[in-house]
Amino acid sequence: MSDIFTFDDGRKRREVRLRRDEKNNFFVVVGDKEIQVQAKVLGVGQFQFTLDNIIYKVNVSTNGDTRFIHLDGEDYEIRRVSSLETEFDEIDEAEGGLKSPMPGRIVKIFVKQGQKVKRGQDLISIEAMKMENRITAPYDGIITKILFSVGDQVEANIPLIELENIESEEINEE
Amino acid sequence: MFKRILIANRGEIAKRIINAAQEMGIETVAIYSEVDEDSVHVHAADYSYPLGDPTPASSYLNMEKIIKIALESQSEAIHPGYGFLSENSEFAQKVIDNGIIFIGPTPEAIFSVGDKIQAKKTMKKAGIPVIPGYHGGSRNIDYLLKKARDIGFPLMIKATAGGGGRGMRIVESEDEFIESFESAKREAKGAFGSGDVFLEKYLPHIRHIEFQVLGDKYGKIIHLNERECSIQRRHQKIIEETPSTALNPELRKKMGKIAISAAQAVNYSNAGSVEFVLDDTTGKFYFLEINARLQVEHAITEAVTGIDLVKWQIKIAAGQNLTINQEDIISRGHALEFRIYAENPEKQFLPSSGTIYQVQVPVGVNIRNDLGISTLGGRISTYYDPMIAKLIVHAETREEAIQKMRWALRNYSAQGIPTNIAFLREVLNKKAFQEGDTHTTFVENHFNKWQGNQKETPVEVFLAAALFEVMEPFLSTGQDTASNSLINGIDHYYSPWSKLGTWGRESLDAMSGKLTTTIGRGKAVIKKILPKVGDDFHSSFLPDSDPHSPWRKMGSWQLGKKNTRKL
Repeated sequence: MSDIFTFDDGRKRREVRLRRDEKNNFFVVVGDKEIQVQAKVLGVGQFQFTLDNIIYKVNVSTNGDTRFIHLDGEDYEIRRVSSLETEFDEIDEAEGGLKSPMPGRIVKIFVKQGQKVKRGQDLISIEAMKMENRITAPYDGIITKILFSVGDQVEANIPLIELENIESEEINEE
Repeated sequence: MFKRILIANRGEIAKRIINAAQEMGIETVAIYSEVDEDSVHVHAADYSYPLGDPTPASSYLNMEKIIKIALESQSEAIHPGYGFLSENSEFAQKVIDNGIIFIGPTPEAIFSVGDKIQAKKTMKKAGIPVIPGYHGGSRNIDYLLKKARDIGFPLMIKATAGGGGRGMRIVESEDEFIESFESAKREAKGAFGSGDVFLEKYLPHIRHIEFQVLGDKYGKIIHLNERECSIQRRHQKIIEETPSTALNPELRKKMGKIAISAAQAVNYSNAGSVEFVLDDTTGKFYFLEINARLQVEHAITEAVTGIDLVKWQIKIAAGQNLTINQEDIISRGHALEFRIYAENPEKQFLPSSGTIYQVQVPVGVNIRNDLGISTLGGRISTYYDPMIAKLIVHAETREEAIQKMRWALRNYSAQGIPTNIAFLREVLNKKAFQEGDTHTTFVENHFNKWQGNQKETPVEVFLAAALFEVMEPFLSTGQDTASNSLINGIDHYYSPWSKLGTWGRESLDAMSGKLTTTIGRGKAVIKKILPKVGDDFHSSFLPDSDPHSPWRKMGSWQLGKKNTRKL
């Protein structure tokens, strides 16, 4: 009997196969190797496991599919990929950069709808915790929509501006 | 001595002050806004009073509400901590007018150092070097531009009422001036209620050195040596150390003397810091400002001097004499403070907020954790400063302090939201840091467009995640989907692991019996969190080799023949 778990660290996916034999020993299949693994709870959110004579101490906490893992002096954030999820779901919605980086208030908008902007140009200035942060254009493009106005409060990770990529548009026209 | 004091602050500093007071047998009163109901300081205090609405203006900045609570709770004194109302002379005065003692300098002293322009004029008069600039208070943009040309570029625009890097802009050339001025003015207005700014020559290659001062109500004032706070981002400190690698005993003596005269020039009492910028290429230093409060980084001074600054603040406020003399102050060893922030170092250090699920802090000899949240986690709200905790280490030498900090940070974990922990670990690997080449431009020079640790995720991490999936369902109650923790142990009868028996020593021994390795019976190899040290890791600040070391004469840490601390 074995279970397959899939995780994504943002760059690639990786499957981990755990096998349990009839004596309840656990084995992990890594590549073409199968190694016995043993584990022990240490405390809240903390356990250790032994692999290849090496004991690893781990801290894990979760938020939905996200797994926060502290191991061997480093921190990692990976995502559990459910078995139903296919690779096709993975296509990213946007190139990002035009979303609010944090909750705050819009203090200045530097551009107008329909305006052509260059990569790196200031678009919006947002203030949070009394600090101003500027959002700049991630690529050359045309502002197709400005979704907020000066003085608005916004949450984190909310689209603020729609920016059409000029290069991709030209390709489409061809 | 007081019977009961109120702490007009929150988080780690409130907790720090509560601890000091409780150790002294003083009862403590905490205040908390709605979002801080579960905060550490609330539970640490003997009494807690709600402030309601979490916005700073109606909670921790609400003078009337706080004084009302102080009177109601029969608190004899108020400690303001840092930030919030700590440097507000109006508040200090109101506290006194209500018959309560303000634990801090007099309102007059706070006022005279609070206005940075006035403070600089006072210092100039007292013969203390200040940075060339324009402090005239004009709001006329043409006139300011003319003054800017006189000072020369690059220059700095700073908020008159400011601090913490807000309302501050570096202007490289004349054509940037107007835009930067407008933006600084706007930020200053939002943060401090006043858009007034002043201009100052910008010195690009400087260190930030501050001297801790402590004075009683009767005119006695001493300094407790320096702290170097050069490593900053967004003009806010993140790393502090003492002693500074840039000071030799002569310079330390000279700057310390001037720090005391600066404090005396404004009749300063209680704890404070005199800040300087030091151009270590020329050895020239300039007065920057006096912080009329306890500093975030006070802990490193406590570590090397062995003096509890918060307790002294309380004793001095209660009218006691400062019984420590200048010659009693001896710094021993080296202390580092790294501030743990909820922020994104990859995104210009933007603050992050949200739930932290668990915090694991390193525990060991000479490691101090000043935590703003519980180790079981908590929320970092957007209302207040995103500092999660302070990690302070103390060791005999700078090199050992770095090693200790490396160990401590590798054992530090705060999970749930982006933090600067990985960034701080990386700082320790920089040769410039190891060599003490620390200037205010450190972060932009060494971490420009830093994109985090780009290392590949080790396979063990994926395995750990998979094991967690197997273990976790048997450990939570099944109903509680929000459960994040492995609480009940693994011997639940459903557990696939249960038949393996307990995982105590016996099973480790049994397991190792099966191993055919060279490590011997009864021991398993434990992959340990060992600091990785490069071959080129040297510090020139060993007490033996460093001619500037103030401890050279003392030898290392054997107990001295005579007790140098006459407390």
